[in-house]
Amino acid sequence: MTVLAYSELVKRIMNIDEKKLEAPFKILSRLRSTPHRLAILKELARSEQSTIGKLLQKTKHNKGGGSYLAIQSFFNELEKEKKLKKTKENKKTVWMFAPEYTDLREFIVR
Amino acid sequence: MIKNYRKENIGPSKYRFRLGEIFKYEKTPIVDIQKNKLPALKSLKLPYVLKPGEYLLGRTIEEFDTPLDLMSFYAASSTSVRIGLSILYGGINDPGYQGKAILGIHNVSPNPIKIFYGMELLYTAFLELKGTPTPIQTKYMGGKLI
Repeated sequence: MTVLAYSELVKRIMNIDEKKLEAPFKILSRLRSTPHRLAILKELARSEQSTIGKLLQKTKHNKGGGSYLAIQSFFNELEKEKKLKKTKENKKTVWMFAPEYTDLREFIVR
Repeated sequence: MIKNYRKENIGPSKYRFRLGEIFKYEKTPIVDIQKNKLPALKSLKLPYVLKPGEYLLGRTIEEFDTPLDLMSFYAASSTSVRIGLSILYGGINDPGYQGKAILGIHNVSPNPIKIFYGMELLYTAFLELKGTPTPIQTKYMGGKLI
């Protein structure tokens, strides 16, 4: 008798292979992902692409100074790990999930 | 496998259902399933305060679309045990069943208990089957109440 456990339930119910999520989750935990940081990441997953200022505004956080810099450094770390990518649009930095991490984006957004 | 699911309700080895609708039986002289004499059901609004001894039927928000290689068992939530709700259920969800889960909610405590939309009273755990099941035979396909 085999009972389906979490990873298999996620795979079957959400149609997402959780094994693909293991590596990004290890990175998120290494980067000390606080609930605040994860809320920002979730908002980015929802918006598909956005600036840090807009994400902070949407999650009702102060969009300047330390708050901005903390998220910028978090996103830069994720970019180094190739989980996020950024582009320049009229002097603004727009962030998005790297295309190969759609599974992570879908898991976060649902 | 489960429609209208919520990611947060996927547990270590189970899924926690959320309550979506409740129904109360109309009084009837006798219930006789051999003669198809069944009580009528009245839909109630949530939240609802369930009095001691009172019994309701509930239907989940989630909907099964059970694949043919799986079946599932139901279990009552431990919260319901702690607050004095007895949860009744069919026991087995057969492979191929499509529809919402139906549960009975009985207040066996001496206190009134508030029942609300999204309340988690019923769990299910999925098991893999060995062999091929026969086609499902149930008159309650689609989450039919009675």
